Amino acid sequence: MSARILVLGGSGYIGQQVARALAAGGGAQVIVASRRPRAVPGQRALALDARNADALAGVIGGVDAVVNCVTGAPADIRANADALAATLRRQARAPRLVHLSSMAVYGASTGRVDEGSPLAPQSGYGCAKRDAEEALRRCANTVLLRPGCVYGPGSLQWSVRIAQLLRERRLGDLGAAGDGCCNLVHVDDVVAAVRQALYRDGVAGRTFNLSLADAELPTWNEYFVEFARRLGAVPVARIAARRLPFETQLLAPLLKLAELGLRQLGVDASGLPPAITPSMRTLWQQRIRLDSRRAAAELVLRWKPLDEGLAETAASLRVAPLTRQPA
Amino acid sequence: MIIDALELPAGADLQADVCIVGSGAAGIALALPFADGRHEVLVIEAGGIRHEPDSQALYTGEVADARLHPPLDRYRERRFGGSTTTWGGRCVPFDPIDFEARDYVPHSGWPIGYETLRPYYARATQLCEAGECAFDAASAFPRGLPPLLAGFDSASFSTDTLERFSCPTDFGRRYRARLEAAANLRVLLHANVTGLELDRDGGAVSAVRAASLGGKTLRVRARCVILAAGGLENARLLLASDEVQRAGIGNAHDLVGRYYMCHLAGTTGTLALAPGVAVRYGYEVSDDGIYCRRRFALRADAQRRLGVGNFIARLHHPRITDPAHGSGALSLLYLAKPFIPYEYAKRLHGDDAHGVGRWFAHLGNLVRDPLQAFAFAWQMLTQRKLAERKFPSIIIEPRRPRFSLDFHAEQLPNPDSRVTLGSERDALGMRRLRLDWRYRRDDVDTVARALATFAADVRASGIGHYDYDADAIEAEMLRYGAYGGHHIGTARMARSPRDGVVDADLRVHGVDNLFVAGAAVFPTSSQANPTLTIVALSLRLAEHLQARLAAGVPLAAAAPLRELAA
Repeated sequence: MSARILVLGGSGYIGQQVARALAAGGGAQVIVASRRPRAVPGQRALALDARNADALAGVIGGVDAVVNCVTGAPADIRANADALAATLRRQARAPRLVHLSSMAVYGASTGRVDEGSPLAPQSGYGCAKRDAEEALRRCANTVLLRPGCVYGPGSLQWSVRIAQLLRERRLGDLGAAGDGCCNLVHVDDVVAAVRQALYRDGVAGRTFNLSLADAELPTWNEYFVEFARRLGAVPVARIAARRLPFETQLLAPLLKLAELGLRQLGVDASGLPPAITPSMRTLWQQRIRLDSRRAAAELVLRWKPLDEGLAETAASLRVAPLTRQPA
Repeated sequence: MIIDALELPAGADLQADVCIVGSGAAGIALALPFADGRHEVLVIEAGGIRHEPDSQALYTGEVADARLHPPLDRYRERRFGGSTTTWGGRCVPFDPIDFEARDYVPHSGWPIGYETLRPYYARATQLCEAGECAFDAASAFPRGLPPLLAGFDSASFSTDTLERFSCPTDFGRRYRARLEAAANLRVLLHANVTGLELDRDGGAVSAVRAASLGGKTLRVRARCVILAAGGLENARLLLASDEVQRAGIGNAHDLVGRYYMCHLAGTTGTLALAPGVAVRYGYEVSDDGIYCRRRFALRADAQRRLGVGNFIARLHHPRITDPAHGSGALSLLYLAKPFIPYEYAKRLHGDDAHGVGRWFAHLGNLVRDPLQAFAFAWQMLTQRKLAERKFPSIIIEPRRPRFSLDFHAEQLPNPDSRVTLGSERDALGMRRLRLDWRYRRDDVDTVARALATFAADVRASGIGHYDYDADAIEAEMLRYGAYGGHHIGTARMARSPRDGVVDADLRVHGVDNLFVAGAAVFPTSSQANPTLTIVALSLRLAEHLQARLAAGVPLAAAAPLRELAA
């Protein structure tokens, strides 16, 4: 009999990728749960509020493993973790749980950071992610994954949004403001890590950082310049130091207000230009290097080379030319 | 960490594995590779974060002929970041021929070859923020560029080599956060090195003495000491440290301060192009966003054939001072001279007599051609003044296809061109420098033969003619004296102590733990501006020092460190 795997937060970017890969890999029945599920061939879609313990209890008894990709506002993250932890504790035989946490739990730490480094989250998101880890770590049979910045085709946060900012010349070479270490990890590597965490013995109770190998990690400047070149967003702009406070202090709040206003009016706000938030600006300067050697060794992962990952990401973002070839 | 000597207790004794004297391009490039490593590095900076007149005044000295060389407190900055706080940003690697012993250039030849330095140029270009290490048009512009000068067919000149421009990056401002963040790096401000103490047999530096203008003194003991204080100050420090080695450190063969070279530069002649000849006068911007410019570079085989030094020339606007150019933009610059820093204004205008009549003639140009002047002023404001990556120089498309030629040539090594210690002392009691820059007939020949070859090649190509006054070359070359800011050769590199002050590892011959970084060690000057090569040499030196420290040498300096620790 094939394993039944429940993917929570299955409509999010990582959730979708994980579900698709698990279904495509064969040998598993994939149940994709989210509040507003979409039917995808080969997967069973399930409408479920993953913050609700009773709702979770109704499904979890029947599955062999859970992948928790739920994200959202801090309160939602906590509510989901608490509900999930409570449900899992009530199971006679705990299914394997693979929980997607985040490097945000390390907060403002600098230098090389491994899984044993102290957690010092600062953002509301980071604190919620830490609390979620706390709640779920106590469940038997849990594997925690802490990815860095997940990029790849379709990654809104670290590929699509960055590409748009590069094209608008609002990003480029940031000088000292972009000297931080860019802990990229390709979405395919995250998916591979989830798969390994589901199926491998001996990894229960373990935590894993996910990012490119140390020697491959670029600075944010290097990432922006290289990505821009591959996108054809050239010449790459040099962004003056005084531009960033303007972006984060003035433009970002205005864009947020506009987004809220449009939502109130029931208008789609996705056409608004992306904002550069204060937390992004902080991250781009932060000299934190995720040590992902444990994941490479115990989950037997080979990180997709940055060159390759950037090439396919840029290709996915390149708009097809509108001009028609003469017949 | 950045600390201030003014806040240290009097007579402080500091120690480190590596002590770097100077925080300019050489010193910072040398310190950064140590960041977050196992070795303690102390960078000693004489000035503060900003320009301070008192500190800067310690640079003043005597110039033998003021017409030939700018005053010694010009074109260098005694402050955190050093002269990168004022440089123009032109990055050019040396050419392979620069490292060769050339039989027609006495005292030429480096103890290392181009291949030895080549691996360091990539990182150096990055540190200078000049993008990727692509210094020929074909690799920097894979989609191709229109020719620099269509139809120019020359076996002697290449138009494919590039100069790439730094922001220009102020190394202090740019790398301050990195220096502050690294726990094993310290930068000590307001500490003027006044002497190097040698152990009794003179074989190693036992301490570095420093003083602040407030009257505090301190000493630093380190396993390795590196002088990275600039081409003039490095020589001054070696010569002034004369307690054990009486002629100054490393000066047993009377080489410290000799072979002082700048570059030979000037603007001369008129290149008149035939109608319809396409020319690319200004800058190209590479995909990585870097201003790049091609130039006419005298090929290595042509240098050998002509028996001359290295040489490049760029297309240039007509001389600004002469209102006959009729350009509103150039006249605007003339009139704006009071607002332009000395180091740049001097090159823009020279020291011509400024009559009221001339001033009115320029005003006339401005009134007749206000649009060009406005467009130019707008470009200077938006792409230079307000931009972090600055448009590198003045480019004004001429109304007629007429250009002058801006040349930059190698000065050949000359032992009689030198700096020595003068008799006057500065506020800290150190003897001031006396500078006697000299050039030779050969240097004029480099420019004369190169220009003649250029003129012949233009004519033979049938694209126009280049006219210049062959008899005025020397005067033109010396119009502004030695090219400011390039202080080369005063502690030259050679295998034998008889031929040079430092060895191929930049270690002072005969002193176990003393090194020199910067253009002082260049045995020859090339056509290239020195900064990129200074940075590349510093990166190579950092690697050498790391290997050396890891191997546990030197023993000579280890003893006092242990005593201190006890």
